[in-house]
Amino acid sequence: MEISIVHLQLLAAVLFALGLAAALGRRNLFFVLMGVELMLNAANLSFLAWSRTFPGRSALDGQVAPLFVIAVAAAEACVGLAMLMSVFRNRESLDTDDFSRMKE
Amino acid sequence: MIAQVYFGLFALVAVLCGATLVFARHPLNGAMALVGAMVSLSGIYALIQSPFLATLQVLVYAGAIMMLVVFVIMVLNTAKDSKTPGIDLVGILMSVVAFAFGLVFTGVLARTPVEARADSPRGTVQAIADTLFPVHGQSAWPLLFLAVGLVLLTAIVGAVLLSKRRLESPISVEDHA
Amino acid sequence: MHSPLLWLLPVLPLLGFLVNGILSLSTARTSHGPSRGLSGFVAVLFPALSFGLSLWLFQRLSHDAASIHETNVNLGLHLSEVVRYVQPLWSWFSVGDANVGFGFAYDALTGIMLLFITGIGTLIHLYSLGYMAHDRGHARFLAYLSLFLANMIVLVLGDGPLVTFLGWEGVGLCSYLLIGFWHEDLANGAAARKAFLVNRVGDLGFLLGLFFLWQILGPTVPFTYQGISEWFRDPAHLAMVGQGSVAALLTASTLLLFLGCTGKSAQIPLLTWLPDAMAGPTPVSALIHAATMVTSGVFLLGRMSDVFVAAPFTMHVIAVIGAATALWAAVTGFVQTDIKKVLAYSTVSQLGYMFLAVGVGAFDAGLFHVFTHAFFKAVLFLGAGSVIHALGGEQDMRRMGGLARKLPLTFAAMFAGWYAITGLPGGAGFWSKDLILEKTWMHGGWALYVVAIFTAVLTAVYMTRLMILVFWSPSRVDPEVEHHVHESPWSMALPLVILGLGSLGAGFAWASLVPGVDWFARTLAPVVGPAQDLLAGPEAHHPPVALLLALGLMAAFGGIVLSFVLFRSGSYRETESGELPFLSRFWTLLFDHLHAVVAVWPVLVVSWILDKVLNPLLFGLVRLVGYLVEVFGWLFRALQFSRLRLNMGLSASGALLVLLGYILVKELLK
Repeated sequence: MEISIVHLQLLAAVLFALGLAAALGRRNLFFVLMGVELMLNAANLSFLAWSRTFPGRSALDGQVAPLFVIAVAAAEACVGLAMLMSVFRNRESLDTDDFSRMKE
Repeated sequence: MIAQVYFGLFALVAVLCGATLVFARHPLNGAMALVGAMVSLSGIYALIQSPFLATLQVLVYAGAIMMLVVFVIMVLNTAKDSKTPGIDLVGILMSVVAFAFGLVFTGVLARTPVEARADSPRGTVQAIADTLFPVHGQSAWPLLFLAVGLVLLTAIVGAVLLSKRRLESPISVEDHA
Repeated sequence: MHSPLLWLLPVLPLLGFLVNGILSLSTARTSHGPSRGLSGFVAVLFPALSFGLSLWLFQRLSHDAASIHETNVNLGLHLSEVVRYVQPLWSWFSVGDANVGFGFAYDALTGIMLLFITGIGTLIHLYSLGYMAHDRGHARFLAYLSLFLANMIVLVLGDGPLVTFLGWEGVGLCSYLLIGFWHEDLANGAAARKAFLVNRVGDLGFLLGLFFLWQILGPTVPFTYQGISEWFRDPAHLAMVGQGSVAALLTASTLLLFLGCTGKSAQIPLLTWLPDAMAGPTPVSALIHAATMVTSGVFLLGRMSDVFVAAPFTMHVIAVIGAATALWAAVTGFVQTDIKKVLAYSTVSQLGYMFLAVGVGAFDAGLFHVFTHAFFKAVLFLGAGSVIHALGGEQDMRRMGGLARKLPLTFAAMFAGWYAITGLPGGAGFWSKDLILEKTWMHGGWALYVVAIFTAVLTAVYMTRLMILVFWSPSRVDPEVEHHVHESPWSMALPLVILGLGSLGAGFAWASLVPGVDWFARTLAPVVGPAQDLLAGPEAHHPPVALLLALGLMAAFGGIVLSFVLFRSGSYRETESGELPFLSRFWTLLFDHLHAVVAVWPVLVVSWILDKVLNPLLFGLVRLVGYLVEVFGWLFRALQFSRLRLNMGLSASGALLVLLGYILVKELLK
């Protein structure tokens, strides 16, 4: 018995919302980054789930896309963490509300 | 049937871990929760015929990327999120937005008739390799693969530059001192 | 025939380069520098091994050629078969349907070139041990020298023009590195850059020539010397390239290839770099800028003789350019005061002779002059180096003199070189120069012959002048320096002796007056013979050998006597400042001025226009963009919250609204 696509998509939606909540709601930069990671994961799950609804080779495109998402997520984590470290070194703070120089 | 039980279990763990990420006080706890979510997602991938992605999820995501995050959290040891309130007014507002997002998705999904197809192929290493590097016929994937390689290279260079102790350019201002 | 050993020839000196390079790098921060014994041993060992290998190969080649010749004679055939060892190594690149392989080929021409390249190369490595003994960077120097040798071997050993081009660029790089070896002096760096840039112009010609040649041949002909030669030796193909657009293409191709040769071999118009290249240490001048690298242009013409004879116009151009260069450089050498500059212009002049020979279709005579010139010019340079070494770096001949007694060995060696280059009977230059004069008389016409014989007179004059000023005239050496004058160590003396003997004896490789002594010509005949026969046709008349010989000898003796009359006292009219008189300076720098007008000034004009007109315009544009961004930024900043999360959240809400709107519209339209 297959798992229903709707259930998978629902799970993806819930995880996406949780990730969004972490990314937007939290003030600590680490949580922002990790929230983004969770959102990317939810998107991956959605990709894979949708790929189950296609026949033949076209389904595999849905299997390959997450691969690229993972690669880009790796790059993002790499640069994001480097930026985070450099920001922390300069400001001794990871609070997003402290970063408002663009506006001032 | 057993698949659905497993799915329910994994989904529950994933959602709980996601919720922990939103509410955790210390980033390390959040990171651990995220690892949990990722591992359970990996289990779900395996359940829906994507063994390769499931493996990569554990290897690259939960393994490499999260390791990096945890490492940085530990390097910046002073990062305990005690000064800032976990949830404030803006946070609640944002959570509402996120909740609305979830709601809209759910609403759309509930009205979409989708059915898994039995003839959908398994995402094995062989199948994905054939898609990614097609020997016959044209495909955009190889080009994208090269592009991603370039992106990763750029990221490495960028990370090295950013994490140098002090950029030797007049732009970097030491304004905390 | 396949030979599995060819790859060792360039790799051995390359190993020497690697070892000495590592030695030099690893000891860069120590106070003593690398061990002189170790680096010197390595530097001499590997080229010597390479020399031994090429000796063995050449002996085998001669043996094989003789046995094949014998077979042909027994069968009643009159074929001069090319004996060629090949070693295809790997496929280099393939573009479209064109496949270019990387491999080595060894035939008589390569063999002869390799013999004196590795032989003289080894001797000069040995000489450098003594010459550079007090230099902190001697390991680096030896490393560069070995790298040069490896590249030079690749140049002559390549089985196709592209492999040769690789070596061609490599020797250019090494030449650059070695000219600028003492890079603390900015002038040396400028000389190195000049050599590099002028050579680039020639290299561009080389490359374009190869492209044109490729265009003619098409992708089906293998782009190796063998393939090209065989294609051009086919009478049907020769008829095809003789007319119409293909002929024009071939002429363009060969002219461009020749431009490459003028760059490397310092001919008009690209000759200005060679005199400046004397800024490098003297062993470099001897090895690279006299004996080997600068002759690679002649080598290339010999290698592609079958191509060049198919383009008669190009051959005329080569002959005229060669003669003009020989004359111009000889006159220039006449007015120099720097001992190395005299030799540099002399090298240019002798190279002109070689090109003259090639241009009139005597490839073997030109290459023979390459061979003999390598000996006597190397010994002259090394002797000059020995003099400079003895005088503690003094290069100005006005402050030399009377050194014959103080430096007897150096004097003897340089005397041998002088004897050879002036063309006195029996010396190496006598045979080869005489041969060139004879061939010029036969195939080049009287005008070229007159220029050539006049150049021979001038050569004798300026070389005798050099000898008088350095060795025979009363001493003008600074007494302080004179006190320290000493003969060089054995490592410098041994190469001097060997090369001195060589410059007396090398001519007997092809003593054309003595019947039967034509080893050189016989060996080369399979390689360049067909091309020469094609151009010369059946020999209609024998040249008046006795008359030409008499003229040649008269030129040499006349020049020497003239020189003694002019410079006997060792003093001559000079401006007090040490500068050359205006006319001499103008003549010396003639082609530098020409380059300035043709190439440098246009660049300056264009860059002035770019600087004064385009630059402000572009800057204005850039400023405008920056200003626009600032204005818009100021506008949009008013729309932002200072809280990051709020901004992001509002964006997310916006996305949500768009999504909702989309759904609503879709529902309504349903």
